[in-house]
Amino acid sequence: MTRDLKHDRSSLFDRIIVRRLAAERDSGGAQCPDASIITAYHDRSLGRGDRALWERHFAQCARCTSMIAALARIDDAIEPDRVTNARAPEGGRRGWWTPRVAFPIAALGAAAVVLIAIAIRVTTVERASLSSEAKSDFQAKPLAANTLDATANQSSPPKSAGAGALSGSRSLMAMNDAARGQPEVASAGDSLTARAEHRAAEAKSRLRDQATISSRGQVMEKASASESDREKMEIAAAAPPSPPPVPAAAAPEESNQSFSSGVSSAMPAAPATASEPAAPPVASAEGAPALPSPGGTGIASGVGGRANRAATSGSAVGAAVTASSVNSGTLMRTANGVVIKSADHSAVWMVGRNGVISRYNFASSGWDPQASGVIVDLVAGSAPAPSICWIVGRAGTILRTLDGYHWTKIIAPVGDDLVTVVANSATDATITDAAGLRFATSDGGMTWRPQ
Amino acid sequence: MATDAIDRFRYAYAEAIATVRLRGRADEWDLDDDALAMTLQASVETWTRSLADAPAAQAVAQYLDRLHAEDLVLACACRVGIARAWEHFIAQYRGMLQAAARALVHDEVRAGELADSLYAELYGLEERDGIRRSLFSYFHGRSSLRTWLKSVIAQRFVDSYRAQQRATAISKAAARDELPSASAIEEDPPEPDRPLYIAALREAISIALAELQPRDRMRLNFYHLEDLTLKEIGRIMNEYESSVSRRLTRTRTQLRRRIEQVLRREKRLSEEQIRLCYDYAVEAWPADLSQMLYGSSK
Repeated sequence: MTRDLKHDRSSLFDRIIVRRLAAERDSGGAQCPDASIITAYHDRSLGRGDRALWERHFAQCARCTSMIAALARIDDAIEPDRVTNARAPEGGRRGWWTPRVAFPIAALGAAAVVLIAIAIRVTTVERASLSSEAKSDFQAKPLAANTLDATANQSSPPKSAGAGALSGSRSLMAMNDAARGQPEVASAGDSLTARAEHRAAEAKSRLRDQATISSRGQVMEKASASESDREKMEIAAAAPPSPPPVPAAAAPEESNQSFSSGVSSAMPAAPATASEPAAPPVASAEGAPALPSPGGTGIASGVGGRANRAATSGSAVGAAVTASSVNSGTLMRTANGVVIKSADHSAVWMVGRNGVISRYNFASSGWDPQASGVIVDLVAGSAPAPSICWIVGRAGTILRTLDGYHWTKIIAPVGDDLVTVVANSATDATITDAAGLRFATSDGGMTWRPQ
Repeated sequence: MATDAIDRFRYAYAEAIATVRLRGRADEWDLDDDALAMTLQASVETWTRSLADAPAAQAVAQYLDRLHAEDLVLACACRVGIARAWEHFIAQYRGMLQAAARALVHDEVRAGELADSLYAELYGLEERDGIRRSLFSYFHGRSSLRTWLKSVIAQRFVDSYRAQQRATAISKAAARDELPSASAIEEDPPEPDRPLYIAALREAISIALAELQPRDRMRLNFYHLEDLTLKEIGRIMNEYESSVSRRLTRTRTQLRRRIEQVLRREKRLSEEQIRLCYDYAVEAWPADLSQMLYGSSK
């Protein structure tokens, strides 16, 4: 029998208290509940309100107290190993959650959050600078795989580390070479890696600014004979895990923007002609709404002119890839699904049939699957920030992530198929269903207002 | 009349009754429909008595759907005297009943007596108007049979053994309440204020106990009067053992503080006089009352 020596019942005070405790209890009678209530109390199947109500009676009733105590003894004898520790203590969250324990834990947690945020920020800055280094390096050095040099589908520097981005470029170079039957050029990548790292260490912030402006403003400005190859590569990189077959365009012109950031992380920035649009003015780096294509397809920011020409030309590739702009984040529909990227283009997701969600991993240049928790087709998304993304799909499905990785389902105002979502933040979003009805929320989906 | 009521019940809830029959494997015991219908009707009646308004038909159907069908069918089969059902019940629950009885009555012989008395009541040895009266008539399937049996045996123990002990304890306590004052007056040097001190302490304790939260008082009752372990108390209160211990200490400190506050402020007693209160009280109440209440049952 486990007794606590602190509670020595033989002490003077305890003996006095026990005497009065017993004397002031009721012996029990008409107000006692039937056995089913007592059993339900003991089994914790009573509602919270009922428990509190009956506890006021039990505290004063000898018979009920004895019944409950008897049940406890029986349980201890019959099921002595029943788990008693995995319980949430009642009574206002007492137990371990005392200020003495809670405050240090909360302080440690807050410190950990701050450190993680700093680490993420530093990593973002490094990737941005390294990617711009990679682009400038590609510009400076003509390579066998120089056909890769255009485009910046990449509208902003990716998050991946410089080495990762460059290794990605090597793999792309290999793919391109393979497509054209040429041997892979590997040596250039190695020297570029070392040089990129060195430059990144020397002038991070300056290069980041340049990269931001130049990458957003450029879109495959350089016409080259390898446009079709590049398109194939970009689309392939946008499709996890294996690239889809891309029809060869008879007259490959500029393609629509395919932004797969992992690919373009290795893509060189456009040369100085970036500021000389060969097409109608493109969207600014600040992500202003892009120009719609003549075909009515929304074009992602930074690609306007080229995408317009692509849409007009009716290239097969262009037909396979459509993009639409949103106020925050960029949405593109590919053959394998819908690609969503954050407003700063540092986070990229792909969603598709049967609840599939993948996030592009800049470090590994691959797609990491994420658990959506649903099996319906997901059709659109909007990412106002790298860690915030809203996704909609069939049967009133709305998903949201607040950390970029874990998804929670939000109850939709309708059960119809949802076709679009436009999100400005973690709490503000507008959805549209197949019938064209729009609903907006400003509290993260707790409530919805018809628009 | 009763037959009409059962027929109406069977007609109104035929589908739900058939589901219960299927889920409860009534065919295994060859339980006839009438007996099952009567059992289900009694269960519904007991349930509706606890409701403010008569439930709708759908609610009744849902209630029937939530019943522990297998347990209810077994209990019904035992109640009507189907031998195979009774043998199955004994095989299934005898061990548990014996263990429960031993947990309550720390004596093998008396535990056996307690369990055996329960078997007799469950089987229905007693007859009234030619009908066996089985304790199973009071099982309605809302909880599991195992849970119900635990509550029944606990109730048996509390009502019979506790009442027996308490009758002795009350008489002794009553005598003790009278004696100390008288004996104190007779035996001790005249202390005219002694009864006043004892009465003041009694009142202060009553005030302090009345101000306790119900759960705090329950914890004290379980520990001091029911002699439960910290683990058992924790299981009842849904708390960790360490929390039970900590809260018992806190309650005790709180009681003492409040008692002395009442004595100091309302009774205007000095520290010396408060100490006297305790000294006089412990002389007046020398025994641990829990021993008086439960005696040799422990």
